[in-house]
This record gives sequence, C-alpha cells and structure tokens, in this order.
Amino acid sequence: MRVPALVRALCVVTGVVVAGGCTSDAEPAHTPSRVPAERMSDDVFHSDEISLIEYTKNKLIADCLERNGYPEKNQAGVQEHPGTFDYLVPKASDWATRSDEQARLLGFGENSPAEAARVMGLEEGYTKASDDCRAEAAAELGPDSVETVSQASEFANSIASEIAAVLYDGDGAEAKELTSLYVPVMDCLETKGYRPSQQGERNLEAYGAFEKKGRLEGPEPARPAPASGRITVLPPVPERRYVPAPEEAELAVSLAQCARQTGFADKEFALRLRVTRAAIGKYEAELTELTPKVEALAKRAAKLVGQ
Amino acid sequence: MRRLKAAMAVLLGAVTLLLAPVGVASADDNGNGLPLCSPEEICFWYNESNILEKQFYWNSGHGGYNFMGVSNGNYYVSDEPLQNNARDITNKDSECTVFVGIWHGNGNWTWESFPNDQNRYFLRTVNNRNDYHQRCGV
Repeated sequence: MRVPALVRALCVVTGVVVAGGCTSDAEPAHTPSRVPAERMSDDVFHSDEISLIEYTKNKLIADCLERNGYPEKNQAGVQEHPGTFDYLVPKASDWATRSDEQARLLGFGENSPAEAARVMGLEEGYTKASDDCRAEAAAELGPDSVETVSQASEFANSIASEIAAVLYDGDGAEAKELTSLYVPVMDCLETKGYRPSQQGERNLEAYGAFEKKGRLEGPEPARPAPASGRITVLPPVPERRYVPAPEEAELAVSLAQCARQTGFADKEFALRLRVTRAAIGKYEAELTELTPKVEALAKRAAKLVGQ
Repeated sequence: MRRLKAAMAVLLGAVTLLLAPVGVASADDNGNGLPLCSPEEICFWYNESNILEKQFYWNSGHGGYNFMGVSNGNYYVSDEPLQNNARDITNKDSECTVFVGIWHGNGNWTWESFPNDQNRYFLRTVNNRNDYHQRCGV
C-alpha cells in the first residue's frame, strides 16, 4: 500500500506524527531514506508493485499457454508472491522478539509454508510455447518490462550489498556495534548455565543457537523428477509444522529471555534502521530513476489483470 | 588444494544445512539431470564459461554439492564445490524470483534476488559466498 498523498502532504506541512504516517524528523516521510521501516518494502523497494507485475506476467503466460493447447498452468492456479523484498526491511531478529511460548513452539526453526501445484513442462512443444508466451507477455506488459524488474532487483541487491558491507564484512563502527550487542546476550546465557562449545568462542552458534535439531511434521512431499517429453503437474504441498527438539526449544526460550533482559531487540532494530536508511540514501539517485518506471509498469499490469 | 576445498565444502555444507531457513528442499536435486540450464531450473555457474554448472528444481543448501561438467559428451561431477564458489545464476523457474543467501553467523543472512527472466546474472555480494537458495520468498 502506498502512502496516501493527503497523509504525505499533512506530514510535510505540519510535521505531526500521525500513527506511523510520518517520521518525527524534519524531513518529509516520503523521502526514501526516511520512510518508516514498516512501509519500506512497498514504498522504497516496490515489493507490492513488483509482485503484481510478476503475477501479471505469469498470468499472461498461463493464458497464452492455454490458448495454445496447454491449460495446465491455469488449472493449477497462478499464485501471487507478495513481499518480494521484505527481507530488506530492518527489523530485530526473530529469535530476539519471540515470547517464551513462541520460542518453545518453534525453537530455531519455522514452519514450512504451503506450496501450490507446480507445472513442470519438459515437452518440446510446451517449451517452445512457453518461450513464445513469455515473449508475448513481456510485449503486452511493455517493451522495458523485463529490464525494469531486473533493475528493481538490482536496486534491492545494491542495498543488500551495502548493508552486508557495513554490518558483516567491515570492521567499522556499525559492525563493531552489532558484534557488541551479542556480548551481554552471551553473558546472560552463561548465567543460565550455557557454555560455548569451544572455550573463548564468542558467537551465538557456539552456544548451540540456530541449530535445527527438530523435524517437520508429516511426510516429506513427493518430488518426482519431471520426465522429458511430458508435462508433469506436481500436487500442492500443505504447510508443515516444525517441531523443535526439547533441548533446542529450551535454548530458544533462554535466548529470547536473554534478549529481553538485555534490551537486544530495540538496540538491534535501531542499528539496522540506521544502516538501511544510510544505504537507501546512498542509492537515492537510482531509486529516483527506477520509481516512475516501476509505477508505470504496475499500472499497466493492474489494467491487464483487471485490478 | 581441490581436496581441501571439497572437504571444507562438505563441512560448511553440514553446518549451513542445520542453520538454513526451513523450506521444502529435495535431496540430490540436479534438476532434470541433463547438461546445461533447462526450463524450470535454477542454475549456478562456476565462471563466465558454460562448462561448469549446477542446476536445481527446489530450495537447497549448497553444501555437499559440486558443479557438474560437460566434456566430450560426458556429464560428470567436477571437483569444484558449489558452496562459496559460484559466480553467476540463471533463474529459469517458471514462476518465482530466486533468492541466494550468505550465512554470516549470529542468525544473520544476506539475500540477493534474481528474477525468473532466463537471463544470466552475476552474483554480486553472494559471489563465491553462496550458501543457500530459495524460491518465491525469504
């Protein structure tokens, strides 16, 4: 959802903080590097528009395939995958924000999401029709549609690269700050009786964190390899719940408690927000060039699928 | 040196698999099992050439896999590990963007995204640091 123009205007004129609609800084909320974290995915990285464009492309391809005698994709259903760039939104780590109950239920794992049926076509005629339909869909969306989506990914990758360089690869102030945030958490784990696997090792994995010792409930879905010369429709896969091992769940609870005791999540979020905003600021020129292209393409996509 | 790299890859692979996001993976995934990057496959390339490539249909950690090679009509497992050793990606998944990740430790990942437009892309941040790939979202 994009920021309504009226809210943006009010923010600029009054500087008033309206339920997350404005930042508290002097700069207007729609300055990309000042967009609140909860709106970054759509307002900065265009996740909503890119997922609509990709859905439209896939739907156009499925319709074209059906016209050419291959209805399987439409029969299986074309899915939209929202939140393409959600992973770039600054937030505190999941392990640090869970309640004791959530930590006990999930340990260090997560449930495996449901998957729609997947059509795997390895028939020569189908492959040719797919290529033709892909070209037709790109032409319908617009001559620069492939390039624009690629540029949006490239922009996202630039931000990811910048964040990685600052937080993980360098030895600058922000990397040191992040490293320092784990120290009181590890000290807290020690007070609870945990010890690193090797004396002196100072990272959370050394205490056993993030190791998935549990299992996904239910049978492993069948993954038949599609045969050449045939179209294979793989059935949908239901969601599967992750069940952690008891000692994994216990450590996850301790870690969540230590995160709360040390105020880890708030500090981590503030650091990630700062670093992400700085990265976005560095690439603002690219974003200024990209945004009208994505918006125009998304409008065209919405018309094509009747949204 | 190659043996050391292969041994390191197996070790790192075991660790990364334990820490990897939970998604549907498939053991011994090699796409359609035929040389070169085919429709529906997610393909990683060792360098600028087309000689060493590793293909998948599903989500997967990269540990324990080696690039596949083609020589004199033979399709073989090369000595080059996939993990932390890929240069390019081609995403021919019929539906989804693919995300390639680096594990940094302390629960931290960096992800890069690659649209399913059939083009070959240079892995930037994840270049030679590739630990995992996931379809459709992370």
